[in-house]
Amino acid sequence: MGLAVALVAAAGCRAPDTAPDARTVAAVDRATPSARSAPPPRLAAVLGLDADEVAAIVSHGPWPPPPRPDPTNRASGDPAAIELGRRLFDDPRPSADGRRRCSDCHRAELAFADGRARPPGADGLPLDRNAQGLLDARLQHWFGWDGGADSLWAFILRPLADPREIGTDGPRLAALFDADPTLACLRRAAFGDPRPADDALRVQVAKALAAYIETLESPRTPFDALRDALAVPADADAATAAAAEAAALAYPADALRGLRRFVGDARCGLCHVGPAFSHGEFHDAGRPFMAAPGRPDPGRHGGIAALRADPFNRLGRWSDAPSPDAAVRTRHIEPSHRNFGEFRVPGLRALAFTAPYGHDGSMKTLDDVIAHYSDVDLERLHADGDAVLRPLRLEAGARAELRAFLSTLSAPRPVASPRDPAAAPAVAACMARPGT
Amino acid sequence: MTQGGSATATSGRAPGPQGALAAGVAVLLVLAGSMHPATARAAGPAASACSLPEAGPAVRRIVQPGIEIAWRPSAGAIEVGRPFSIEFVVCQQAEPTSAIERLAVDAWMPAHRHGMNYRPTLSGTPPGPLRADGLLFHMPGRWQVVFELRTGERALRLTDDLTLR
Repeated sequence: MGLAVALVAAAGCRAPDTAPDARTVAAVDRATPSARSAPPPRLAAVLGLDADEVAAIVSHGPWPPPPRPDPTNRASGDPAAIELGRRLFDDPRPSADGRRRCSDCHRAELAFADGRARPPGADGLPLDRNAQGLLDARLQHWFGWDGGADSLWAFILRPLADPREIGTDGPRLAALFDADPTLACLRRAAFGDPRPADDALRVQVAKALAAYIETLESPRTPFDALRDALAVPADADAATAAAAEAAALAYPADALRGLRRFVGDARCGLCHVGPAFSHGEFHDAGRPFMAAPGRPDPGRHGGIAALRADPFNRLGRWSDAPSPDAAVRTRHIEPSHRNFGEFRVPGLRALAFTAPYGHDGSMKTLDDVIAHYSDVDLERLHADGDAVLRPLRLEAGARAELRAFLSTLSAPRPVASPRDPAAAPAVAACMARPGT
Repeated sequence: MTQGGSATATSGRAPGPQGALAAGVAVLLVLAGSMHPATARAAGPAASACSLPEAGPAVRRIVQPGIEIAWRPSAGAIEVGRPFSIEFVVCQQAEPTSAIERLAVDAWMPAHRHGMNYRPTLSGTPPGPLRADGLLFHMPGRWQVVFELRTGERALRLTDDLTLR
């Protein structure tokens, strides 16, 4: 923002402040490999890892991260809202034709993806993009491949309204709650009386669905066991150190080589950051971006436009956040022509269940993904000089090692066991006496 | 989370109006367009009277003859993917004293040739403390915080390098 300000006089600022603040020094020191809780030297040596590699690996955990309620959604974490969302997620009655459910395109056994490149819409034609898995969505800041929504519930409003997807509206939802006393009871327990109509009711439904989806979490994986072993401090007791070493040595050798490549020369860790393996921002990865012949998918470019026009974004009156800090990203978003063809960097957990890959589902297997980044065609990029990507030129063995590592980011089952909202008193009361 | 860093300051002729603005004239604090430095000089942190209030994270400095910027994140360390704000002061020591006609804060990754996905907003009154909100470093690696100023005829670009892990 621009400010009219008075003119600057000469120097003469304030008292000396050269003594560093202890809080920041500590924070900075913790960030440096040499000052982290160093892994047991023998374990690192046995695994052939240097300090930078250990620091990079440890940065991808711990898993799962602690709960972090969405401040824009007052129903976030509320058991009644979670149960309401769980029921609506698998209920076809809200849809325009009474047959379409969220769970049609977000299947639990596929980590809440659907196994298709692009799911069909109500008209039978494929939708523009791949249906993303929903696990760990609570960790995102932008939602959808284009980041056109800045909260999970605001994003859910899109498929709810789209006639090619659920295609519902306020009157249809109102009729559903009037006809189903259990749903009405859960809604009342989560949001109170009276039942609103139109936009306010749609927002409540979206927030309940978001509250449910926030509980969908990918389980711990073989990678997490290795990561946690490397995070054990050097002064840990003998039993802890022995358990850490056993866990680390159980990690497959080919996967470890792939992991070293991932955090090293391949530079995957530039974008696949943190416990969820995504920084949550957007890049042009050199993939095709035609939604249909003659109709390009603008990706992030369109997403920013949609976000700014969205009355349900974090800057609007529908957000429950008490502090403007919750909208800091939205307030400062910077559109650029380079956003055209950019899509959100996906997380990598539960990857084994979410094929096909890419915003258009055009990569059928992990091998296809690795091959793409091995041979990426920089001429396809619209990144205007952005120099993040470069062809990795991986030999077959290196590709196999990278695939082996990526496979360790999935557990045998796709979804961690969620909390049981039925145990909450408000939910139990609705189950026993829905009219209350 | 940051590690290490270095500061650089560059200066050049601004393409704008000639002559220093007189003291007391209101100026607009804006996000600047690009300015093209003509010369460069590196300067490391140095003890200085140019300072921020004592409470807060460690102060970083960018020094050039006649001008110094002292800045720091407003709360704790900078972390990848987390929005942050900075506080800073702009101290001019050259004669004659010039007004800051334009001031901008930005950041980019030189090795990647891209900047942030966010545009910071500025508040405050020079010499400061001023505040820039809405910065976000979305990738690990070397980031360069950039302060661009125009004072009368001079266009200045002062930078400070940080490495995030």
